[in-house]
Amino acid sequence: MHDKGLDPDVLSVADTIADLSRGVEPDPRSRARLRQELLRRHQELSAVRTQRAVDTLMSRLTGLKRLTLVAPPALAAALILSLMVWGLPIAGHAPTQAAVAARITRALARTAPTVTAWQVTINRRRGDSDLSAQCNPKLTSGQRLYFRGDRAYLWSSGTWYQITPSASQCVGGLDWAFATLPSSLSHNRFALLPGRTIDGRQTDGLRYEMTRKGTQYTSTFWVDHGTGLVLLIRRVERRAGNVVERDTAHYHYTRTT
Amino acid sequence: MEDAIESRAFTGGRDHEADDALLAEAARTNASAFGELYERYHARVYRYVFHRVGNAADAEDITAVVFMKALEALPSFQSRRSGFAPWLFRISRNSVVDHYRRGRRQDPIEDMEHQSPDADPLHHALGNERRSELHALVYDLSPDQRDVILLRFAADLSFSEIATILKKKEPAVRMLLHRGLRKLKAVMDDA
Repeated sequence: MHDKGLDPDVLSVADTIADLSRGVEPDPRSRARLRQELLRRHQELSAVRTQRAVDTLMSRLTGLKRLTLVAPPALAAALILSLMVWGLPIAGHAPTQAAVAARITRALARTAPTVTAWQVTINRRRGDSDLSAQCNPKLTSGQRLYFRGDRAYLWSSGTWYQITPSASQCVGGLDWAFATLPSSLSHNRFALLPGRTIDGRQTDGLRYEMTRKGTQYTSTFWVDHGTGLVLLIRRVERRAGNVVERDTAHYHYTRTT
Repeated sequence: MEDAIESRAFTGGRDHEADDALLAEAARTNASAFGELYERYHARVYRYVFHRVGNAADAEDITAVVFMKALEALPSFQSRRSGFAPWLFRISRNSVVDHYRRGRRQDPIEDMEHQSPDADPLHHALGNERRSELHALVYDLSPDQRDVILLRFAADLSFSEIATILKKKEPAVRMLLHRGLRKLKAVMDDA
């Protein structure tokens, strides 16, 4: 391992230390044994955590049973049902988010190299004024989009460029939003919404909020279940609780077969 | 289009960090995701621990403790506060400290000094098995220098990851590495 910035006179020492440090390898049998033990322990812990989540839910349901004695049965049933609907995601929230984010990122990593152009139609309402705009980014024949992890890169004439939100040249910075979504998902807590069909495609609904300098932004993404491509974004900007701007962006993609 | 896009070296380091964080999130409920993290980090943790304690038996025990602790603490891991690697190696570092604090086993270098008080520890170490050499070499460094060198070379961590573990600034970590290497060079030149 060569460290940039090291003085030349200590480079040989650094090489020696790196060499010595790699001269040690764990015993493969111990390594395999420990792996087995850990996976077994993982199962035990998962079972305990699941049971704990169920117990928490059941204790709430037990509490509600008392309500059935004094409230009309229909009201009690509605309350129990709503508690189950709200209670279940509490137990599986973070893992589900991570799984959905990972699935979208994987799908997008497969799809991105096939995208050659896209059209973004933006409708903005700010106060009483409306604005419509259309952006048509197009890649040249030597350009292609790729993902590594949750980051999008443009390969162009032998050079890699990382796509960041600052790459935008369109109203509201929405032209590259589909490419920066995986990174946004890994850095923001987001809520999953029930899926819906857009342009005949089944989508995942995702929503996250962020606040910057007193302004709150709520972004809702509808993402094609199969390709990971964003089909629709709705963004609401609020200040002091009041809506100051609404953006809606529709996406259409041109892809190689 | 390119002008508006930030050009970056394609190092992949940050990708790997994000990938690990995602895997760690999944590993809370998914055993095979935890298995993947184990495969990625086992050798690095073992090497770091080995060179801290100087013998394979203790290194194996402590490595097992590290991964058991990590498994149990996984629900509290927050990728936004620190990456997975700094989190895991902080557990590793604390486990080594606990090992010495419990005094279960005498430091082998101290054993050597007892056997031969007049001898130079470095001379002894170089005469020993090669795999104990690094432990002997770093023994005379300050605790911070030793940590930086082992986290850098044995654990393959970046400067920013080491800075997170040691709660120091990156330039301070680089300085510690530099000074540690200079000290080692002096020892090696004298040997």
